[in-house]
Order: sequence, then C-alpha cells, then structure tokens
Amino acid sequence: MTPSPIRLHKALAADWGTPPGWGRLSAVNHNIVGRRFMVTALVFFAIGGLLAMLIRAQLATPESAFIGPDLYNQIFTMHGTVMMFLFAIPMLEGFGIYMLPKLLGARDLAFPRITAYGYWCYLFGGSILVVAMIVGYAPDSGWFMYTPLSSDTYSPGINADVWLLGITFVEISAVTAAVEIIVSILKMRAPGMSLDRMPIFGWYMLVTAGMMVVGFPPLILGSILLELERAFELPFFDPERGGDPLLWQHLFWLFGHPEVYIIFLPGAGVLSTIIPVFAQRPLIGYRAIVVAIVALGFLSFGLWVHHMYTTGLPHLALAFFSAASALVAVPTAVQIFAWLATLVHGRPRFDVPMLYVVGFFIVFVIGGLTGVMVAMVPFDSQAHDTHFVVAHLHYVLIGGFVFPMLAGLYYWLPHFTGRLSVHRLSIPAFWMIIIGFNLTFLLMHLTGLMGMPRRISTYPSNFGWDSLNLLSSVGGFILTMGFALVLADIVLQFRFGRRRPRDPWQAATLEWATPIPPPAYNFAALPTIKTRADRLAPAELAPRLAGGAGYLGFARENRQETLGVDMTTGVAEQLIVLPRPSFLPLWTGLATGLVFLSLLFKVYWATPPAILLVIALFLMWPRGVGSRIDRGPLDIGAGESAPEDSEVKGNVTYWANLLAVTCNATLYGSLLFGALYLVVVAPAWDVVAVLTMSPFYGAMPVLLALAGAALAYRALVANGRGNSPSVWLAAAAATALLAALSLLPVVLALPDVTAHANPAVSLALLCYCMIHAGLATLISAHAWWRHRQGYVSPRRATDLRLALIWQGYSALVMLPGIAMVFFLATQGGPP
Amino acid sequence: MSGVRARNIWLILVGYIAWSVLFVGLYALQALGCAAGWHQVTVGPTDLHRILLVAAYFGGLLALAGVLLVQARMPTEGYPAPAPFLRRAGVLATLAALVSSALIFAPVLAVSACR
Repeated sequence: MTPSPIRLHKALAADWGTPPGWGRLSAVNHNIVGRRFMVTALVFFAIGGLLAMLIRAQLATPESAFIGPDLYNQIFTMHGTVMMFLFAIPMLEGFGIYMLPKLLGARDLAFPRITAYGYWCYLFGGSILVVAMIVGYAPDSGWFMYTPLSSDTYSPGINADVWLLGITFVEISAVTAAVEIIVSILKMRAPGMSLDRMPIFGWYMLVTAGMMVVGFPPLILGSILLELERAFELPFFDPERGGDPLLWQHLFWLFGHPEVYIIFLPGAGVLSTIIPVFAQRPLIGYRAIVVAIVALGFLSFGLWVHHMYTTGLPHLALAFFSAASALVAVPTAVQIFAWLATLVHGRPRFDVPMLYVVGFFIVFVIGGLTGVMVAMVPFDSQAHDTHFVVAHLHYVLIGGFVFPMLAGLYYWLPHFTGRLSVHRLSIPAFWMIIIGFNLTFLLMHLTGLMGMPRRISTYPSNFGWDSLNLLSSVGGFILTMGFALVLADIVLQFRFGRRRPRDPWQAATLEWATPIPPPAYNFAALPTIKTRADRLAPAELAPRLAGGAGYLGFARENRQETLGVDMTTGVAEQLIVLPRPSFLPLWTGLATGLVFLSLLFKVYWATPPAILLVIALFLMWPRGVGSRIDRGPLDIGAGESAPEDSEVKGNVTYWANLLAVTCNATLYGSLLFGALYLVVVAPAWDVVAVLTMSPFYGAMPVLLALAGAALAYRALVANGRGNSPSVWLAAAAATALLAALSLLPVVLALPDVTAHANPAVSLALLCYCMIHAGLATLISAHAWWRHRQGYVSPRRATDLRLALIWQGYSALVMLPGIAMVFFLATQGGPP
Repeated sequence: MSGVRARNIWLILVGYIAWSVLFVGLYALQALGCAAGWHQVTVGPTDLHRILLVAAYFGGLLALAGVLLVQARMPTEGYPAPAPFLRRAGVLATLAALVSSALIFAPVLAVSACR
C-alpha cells in the first residue's frame, strides 16, 4: 500500500535526519555539509576581500607608510592564497556537493562521511592559515611560494611552513570531493538518465572533478618536497646541491594553470544552466559544449609553462606552450557562442541573475582577450610580473567564477531559502560591483603597461602611476560595497523575502522538483528520466515524487537508500545504502589536524602517534558498513529490483578506489618526472656520492610486491569459487609487509641525503614505495578481518577487490621506483 | 554492468589522452635531446634531434588519425554499438585533438630546440 505523502515524508525525514544540538557536528548529509562549505568559503571570501582593501589602501598613494613591506608581503600572499584555496575551490566543491544530487536525481552523494571529513580538513586547514595571519606568522612568499624565496635560507621562520602544511591539509578536501563528485555523477543519477540526458552542469562538474584528481597531486608533491627541504634539509630545490628552483615552478604550475579552469568550469556550468532558463529555450550546442569542456580540460594541462616564459627555457618549449595557450581560447569561445546563440534564438527575459550573466560576458571576454595577449611570448616578456597580469587574472577569475556564482546565487537562493530576493538591493549591488570592478582592474592594465611591477609595497610619485592607482583603489572600495550589499541582500532575503512555491523561474531541471528548502533526502521517490534532464517539468513532477510515485518511494528498515545506475545508460543497477550521521569524520579530521600541527611546530615525536591515530580512526569507519548476509535483489519500486551495492562488482567503493589510485599515480608520476628533470636539467650532478649497492637488493622488493598482488588475486579467485580467501589474504598481507621491510637495506645504504638531491630523490622514491607496500598490507589485513567478521562472501567481495587494487598498485609503483633509484646510482661519481 | 557500456565513456577521452601522450613525449624528447647533445649530431641538412622530433610529431598525428578512423567506423547500431551521443561526441573530440596536436606541436618543424 502506498503511504500518504505526509507519512512518507515523516518516515524518510526520520531516517535521513541529523540529530539536533551537538549532534549537528555528526552531520554527513550533503545538504548540510554543502551549505557549510559554501558559508565557510564566503567567510574566507570576506577575509580575502578585507586583505584586498588593505592592499588597495596601501597602493592608493605613492610612498605610502600605511603598511610596511614585511606586513605587505604577508597580506598579498594571504589574499591570493585565501581567494584561490580557501574561497574559490571550496565554494565550487560546496556548490557541487549541495546541488549535484538534486540535479542528478539522487538522495545524497556516494560517500557522505568522506564529504564531512573533507569539510573538517578544509575548516581546520584554513583556520591554521588565518590564525597564523592574526598572530603575525602568515606566509609571505607569494601565493605561488617560489623557491628559493620560500626556502629555509630566505624564509627561515614558520611562515612558509604554515602555507605548505595548511594548504596540503586543505587539499585533502579537494581530492576527496573530486573523487566523490566523479563517482556520484557516473553512478548515482536518476534511472533513465543516460549520459546524453545528463544536465549540462553534470558534465561540467565531471570534467572539473577529473581535472582536480590529476591537477592537485603535483602541488601536493611539491609542497611535501619543499617541506622536507625546509624541515630536514633534503635539497630538492637547492641548485648548489643538485636541486633546481625551477622544479618547484613546474610542479606548482602543473597544478596552477589547470586550477584556473577548475575554477572557471563550474562557473561556466552555472551559466549553461541559467541561460536557457532565462532565454526560455533549451541550450544550443549541448554536444559541442560537452566536447569543448573535455578539450578545455585536457588543453589546460598543456599551458603551465606560460607562467614561466621568462625563466630561460628553449624556444621550442615556449612555442608548444604558447600555441596551446592561444588554442585554449577556441573551446572557451565555443561555449560563449553557444550561450549567445541560445539567447539570440530564445525569448530572453531579464531578472537579477541575468544582470550577472551580462556582467560575465563583458568581464570574461576582456579577460580572455588579454589572456591571448599574454599567451604570446614577446608580449608576455614585456608584461610579465607587472600589474597588467594582475588585471588579466582578476578579469578571468572574477569574470569566470565570481560573476557566474553571483548569477547562480540569485538563481538558486530561493532553493535554499524558499523565498525570493529583495530586488531593491540586488540591482544597485550589481551596478556597484560591475562599475567598481572595472574601475579597479581596467586601469590596472594601464599601470601595468606603464611598467608598474606586481607585489611592490609602495612606489615613487614620478612614474605617472599616481592617479591611476588612486582610481583603482576607489574602484576597489566601490566593489567591496557592492559585495556588502549582496551580503545584506542575502540576509534580507532570509528575513523578508516573499515565500515562493517550487520552481520560481519556470526552470526545467530536477533540483526544482524537490520541496524548497529541500529535505535531507531530497526526493521522496526518485524519478524516471525519459528525456534530456534540462527539459523536464518540475512543477508536474514534484507532486508525484512527493507522493512516492517512482523509485524507492518508501522507507525501509531505517536505512538511507538511494540508487546506483549503469554509467552510460542510466539503467538502475544497484541499491546503495548510505551511512548515517557519525562523529568519526570530525574525530578523524581533528586527528589529521594533529599530524599537521605536529609537523608545523616541529614536534616530530608526536607525528607517528598522530598518524597511527588517524589510521585507527579510519579503520573504525567500515564498522557496521556492508551486510553479513547475501540479500539478493531487493524491491526498488517501479516494479523493479536490484541487488545491494555491496553485492555488485562495479560499485561506488570500487570506482572510488580506482580514482584514488589514479590521483596517487599522478603524484608518483610527478615525482618520477621530478627525478628525471633534475638528472637532465639541474646543475652539479657530475660529482655526487651515489648509492653503491647490488641491484639484487632492488629486485627483492619488486618480486615480493608482485607476489603480494598475485596472492590477493588468488584470494579473490578462491572467494569466487566459494572457498575461504583467509589464507591467501593473510599471505598477501605478510608478503606486502616483507616488500616494505625489504626496502629498508636500500634506504640505509643511501649516502648522506642532505648532501645532494640525488640521494634525496632516491629516498623520496623509496619512502613512497614503502608507504604503498604498507598500505597494501593494511588493506589486505583489513579484508582478512572483514572476511572473519562475515562481511565477505562470493557475492560480497568488495574488500577483496580493494585489496587487489592496492596490492596491484604497490607492485606497479615498485618497479619504476626501484629502477629509477638504481638509475640515479649511475649518475655522478665520488665527490 | 556491461563492460562494453562502461568503455563507451572512453570514446570522448581517447583522442585527448593521445594528445597528452604526444605532448609529454615531445617535451621529454626535446629536453633529453638537448641534454644528450643530439642536436649536434648532423644528419644530412639537419640534425638527429630534429629528425626524431619531426618523426614523433608525424607519428603522433598518424596515430591520432588512426584512432579517429576507428571511431568514425564504429558500428552505429546493434550490440556492442556505443550510444550515438558518445560515438558522435567521441569523433568530434578526437578530431579536435588531432587539430590541436597539428597546431600545437608544429613548431618542431622549424623552431630551435635547445636555445
């Protein structure tokens, strides 16, 4: 019997709810965590904006004594760091976390506790940076932390460590969010939503998250290596000891340039969602846009050297990157023309979101054009490190992210609040922002062309920069007042906005088929999608879903259930049971914070226990997750049945681990690149003490790691045949442990690792291999324990597959790692 | 889940993955050649480094053209035909990757490699 909508709502609300009071800290629901991400990002945006005001106050007049150069260094470093790492990326993550399940027709993301853990890492990591700034120890080497300025010699205090460790802590949230977003988009759409029916925002976030998975690891690696150099004297970036400062620039910009597109693409996704609504016609060029954003995603990884044109690289290298930098404008233009075509062929109606869409067109196109200018080597050589570049990057980032996000804010705010905007404030706010922005940054092109360098704390009054700078500063304050009005508008909307029913914009996407504001479970029943999911009728769909007509239109056994689908066709394949609220993400986040704080304050004795605590807490996460019996296919409504996620081979956990391996492999690939780079490019490699050891010692760990992978495979085969995998798993765990231990003699045989980058890189490679052999041990042992607890059967083999993935990865990294170490041993000779 | 269906997603990615491999390969070849002094080994009117770079360039373009041809000739209906959207988008993406490669890596034909 179908329950009444009210009874269904109460039952689902009880199953999906978050406890009140202190229990709120156990929240894992994407609605709550997504909102927390966005609100926290807005707080950091305000902090970054305040710092920008201090910068503009300082530069308003020549020879200003308002801020001294040391403090100014901290302020501009923190402004860039906060805006890029603590505002833009977390904001897009939070928006994706909040909105994607609703757009895709799911009840939550794939890994709610990981979402919550990511949030705590973001909050704690960001707080480390801000607290350091308040007490006067903020990073001061620029948001890009170039060596040798950020090395121990020139930044001897704790300031640079705050950046390296704080940002790495924050990046945990970026990587976890990226993995979660990819898996959720590919596996957790509404039944029937094939890839070609997916709302275009899903494609944008899929490409963005893919870029994050391979874009962040080079920076994480660079941060680890630089911190190792600063803390333990391993000279990766010291040219006198075989390192190279340019290696840092390569690693940083390998992340840093894709980062620009990581920030832009979600903004473009917002525009592709909003413009058709206000043009009152479907988006033109859906397929072309999908191809364009895939092209953009890849091309953006071929541009990083355009930040390094003046470092003396050969002409051919410059030519590759210059051509790629110019060519990336093409897929961007495809989108802009598609949006314009949609508007031209539609019946556009104007409202507040459209003001910001128009603002985007003006600002971003100017930023794109100056982007093509700085892509050209001769021009960039002139404009490099001047205020022209500052103007360009603000046109691109504010145009490409802030304007679309403001459009999105006004478009989706009724979804958060259930109310409409108070237009009396939103319209003047827009005009103050657009006028203030252009006054600030358009003029900055001129000061840049007149030769004003970036990052100077003051300037003499005889260069003709005075009036332009003063006007820029006035514009900056107008811009800030505009943002303050937006904030006031949001507050007023919560308090005084007119209540509206669902779908106030007559949109055609699924998020408007939820009640507004949405309940924790989003949909009382999941819809069937039979057309492209930006051509739906939410107003008609919503009452049927609220009444339980659709998939999973019931509450069962107090479980949080949603559906998994085939990646391409969207056919319902599995029933995903999500974990309930838990304090574990908070405790694990705090323990992770202890690890970073122990490193920051150089209390190194405390680091191993803190790491063990993190591991112990993570090992508690799977408790109670999964099933001890094979349930077989269960009713999922709509006359269909599907097995539970744990009984399916290609489940979300499996795919998430494959993505984690991809992310990890990118970091390892960057390390191997770094090793080869130093061999080929770095000076002082001909006179260096190297490893003198028989390669036999290197063969042993490789063979053991391969044996571990083979044993994990045997465990999976045995389990599939109905035999116990226990012995195979135990053997696999023991073999992987032996592989890790067998690397110790090689490590101990390395010459002084602080003397030269050669042994230092070898140590980094060996440590990476040891850590991953240890990880393979841990996961195999965990699978063994899960089998003993009854969570593994021939149908429920996820734990065994994870053991195979990580054993296989351990074997895969061992061979090139050891080969590189012994190759490095052939370089140089006795000093 | 059908393995064939899951593989269809790669149709959109394969062209630009090939572009990435070509990018890394050419950039590495440029750096290694300069370090090893291949540009100083005269071969006819040019040098060994240039020959290797140009060979890699045209080899990469040929490989990409081959991928494009395979994708364009994929079955349009019946199992295991990919979804029409993914097939067409895949062809477009690979074509874009081919054009991108031809333009971005064309400097190997003329620009000095080690200065």
